[in-house]
Amino acid sequence: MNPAAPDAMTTTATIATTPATPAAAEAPLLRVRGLKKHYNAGGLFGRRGRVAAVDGVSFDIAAGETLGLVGESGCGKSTVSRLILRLMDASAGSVAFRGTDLTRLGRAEMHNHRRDIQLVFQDPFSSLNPSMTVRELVGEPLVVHRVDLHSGIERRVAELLAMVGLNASHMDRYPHEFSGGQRQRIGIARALALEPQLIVCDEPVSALDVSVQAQVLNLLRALQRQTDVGMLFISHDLMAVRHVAHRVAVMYLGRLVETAPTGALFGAPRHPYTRALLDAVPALEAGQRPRMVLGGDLPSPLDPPPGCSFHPRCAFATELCRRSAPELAADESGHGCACHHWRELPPWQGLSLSLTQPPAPRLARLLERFRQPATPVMPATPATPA
Amino acid sequence: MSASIRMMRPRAAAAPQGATDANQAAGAAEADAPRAWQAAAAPILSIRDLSVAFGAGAAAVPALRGVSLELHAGRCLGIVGESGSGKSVTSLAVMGLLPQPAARITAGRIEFEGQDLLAMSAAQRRLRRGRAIAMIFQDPMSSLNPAFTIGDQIAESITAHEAVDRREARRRAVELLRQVHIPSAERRFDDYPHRLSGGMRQRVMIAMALACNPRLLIADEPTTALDVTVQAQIVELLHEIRQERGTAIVLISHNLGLVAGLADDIAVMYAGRVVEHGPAHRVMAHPEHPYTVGLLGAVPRAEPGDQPLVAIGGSVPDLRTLGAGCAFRPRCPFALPECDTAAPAPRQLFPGHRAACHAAPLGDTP
Repeated sequence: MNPAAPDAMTTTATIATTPATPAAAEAPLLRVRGLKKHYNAGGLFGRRGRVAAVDGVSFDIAAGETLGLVGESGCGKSTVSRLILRLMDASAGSVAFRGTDLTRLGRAEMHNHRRDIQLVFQDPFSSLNPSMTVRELVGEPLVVHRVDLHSGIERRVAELLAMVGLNASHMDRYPHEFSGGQRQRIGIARALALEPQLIVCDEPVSALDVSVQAQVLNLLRALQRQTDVGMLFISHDLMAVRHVAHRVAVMYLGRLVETAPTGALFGAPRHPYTRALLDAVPALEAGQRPRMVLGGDLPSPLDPPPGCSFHPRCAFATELCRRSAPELAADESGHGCACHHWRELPPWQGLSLSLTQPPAPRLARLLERFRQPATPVMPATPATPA
Repeated sequence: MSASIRMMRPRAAAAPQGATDANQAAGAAEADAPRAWQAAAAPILSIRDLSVAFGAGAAAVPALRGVSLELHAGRCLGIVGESGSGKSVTSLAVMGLLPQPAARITAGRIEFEGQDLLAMSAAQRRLRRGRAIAMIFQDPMSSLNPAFTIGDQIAESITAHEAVDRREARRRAVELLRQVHIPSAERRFDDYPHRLSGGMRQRVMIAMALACNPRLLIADEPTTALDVTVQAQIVELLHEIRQERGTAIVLISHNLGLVAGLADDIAVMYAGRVVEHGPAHRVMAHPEHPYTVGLLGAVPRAEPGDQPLVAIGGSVPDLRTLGAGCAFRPRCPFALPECDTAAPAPRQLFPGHRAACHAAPLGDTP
């Protein structure tokens, strides 16, 4: 479905290491370079210093590619999404969208680009205006951007609702009449309305019920394949990221500590922090398993540790880590890691087998029954003779 | 509430039907040991056919519809369910903290160490709360008083239940902070909650809960507000508490994997009912309720090829509009004609393993 993806992965990776300036035609969909966002943390008693919420982040996203951005709360991943959408201004660095640096655009020029980059919010309960019908909600972007539709907005809204697995008969209902999963579908339909080239999904499933999350993940993946849209998928849920992303970037305290194709990141993580994140994923089996539990908390970005910012929590930290911050360097496979010692780390025990192997035969057969209804709508009553 | 009456039969009366006999016989040998053990010791907590409704009259919302659970001393029971499944209402009912007068207990019993909690006076229940049964809540920030130091708050939970002087209370509070692995506990004693991270605050909450050495600890989504690496720390801490103190734990979460890592037994709740209840390893490896099967499938794992995730269609039902049939019926690919008309009673399918499903034991034939 996505022939460009493997190519894109390798090209983007090599580009990331070479400071070349290719022509705009070859530019990836999105190229973020050295992105920084600093805040002045002015205390009551004078200036106390600077908070580097995002501190030099670089990555690329190709058309049709999903980049998963993973990290804990406070690591700066949501700030990255706001900087890309220019909901706030960057302190330094560039966000090139198809070769155009968005950080330098004026208000009117930016407005023209907004339709190409859309956002799916985390919380479908607070991000939809409760006094608007589905028709108005999904049609609003078309009106705002004065999209000239010969066939009419109504028809386009119906088309969009069908794309996200909702019924056109729901058009005159209000958000409160829908469940969380359905509301998130409305939010996705809204984001798709202008046929964007890039969708930023900021924790799109974490506010949903567990049994509904899989529906939305499936939908996002299917839509991406149909439309070849690029996607930045921000989440703290590693297993969700593994399911939808082609490449993954792990963020810690404002910096990327590891970037890799999804298979490599989950199969052979290099950074101790990535390993700890993977070890923290609960297994799907009973009983405790041996794992590395990370001590301490995320340090305050107001007072980041010197050297590698992960060293106070790292079991492998040395004097070098306390002195100098490692740079992220990618190899030819596109796997990069900002750690002085990744080559010397003990072998990783791997994810729990319950998370990497297909389910046992009985469970697999039972699960097959859930795949029967083609669309994630309520299944019809099976005709069973009494 | 006619549906809940079906559930109110004692377990012995819920005779296994023909199809389950073979299943039972097969597992009988394995099951003798745990059964004998369970018969020997009375459960520390026993909930029987508990029904709770919010509101009154026609507008009443049945939050619990005949819940039966059992927990033995020193064991850990994991309760898994989504929003609205009734898992938190169950824990609040045990604590005697249901919002009044909105919530009414319409039927059932809650026995703690053989005594009926629901028959007790408010004063008697207050005596047990904190001392015998303690609870940890989801959000450690809103559960701590921002105007008092964490040390004072822990010391208060000691002096509220025991006649000790300030110095002794302080000594014990510092000791508790140490036990929940708060670094430099002596100094942290005088910190206010806002100075601590989310994980630290949850440790303080756990220290408060442990202050009077409770025999039962209820942890309601203790890690949900926390980051994944800190979640793992808290789970580790609960594990340690269990091993060192022998405290019985009820761990409530929406995350099946998280619960499975700690619990001896798992109860899966859906729309106010326990739909599956059994030993953790059995439920994880051999689920018998379609909802549990779906939950296990909804977690992304390595899939053959590029298949989409197994998704449970539809969404969690509205408790106000539940019919007579099984609440999972509209989402269930295993549904039978009788699922529309009668809510299934929990049936024992394997010693200690019960599921409330007409289609159970789930076979392979369509």
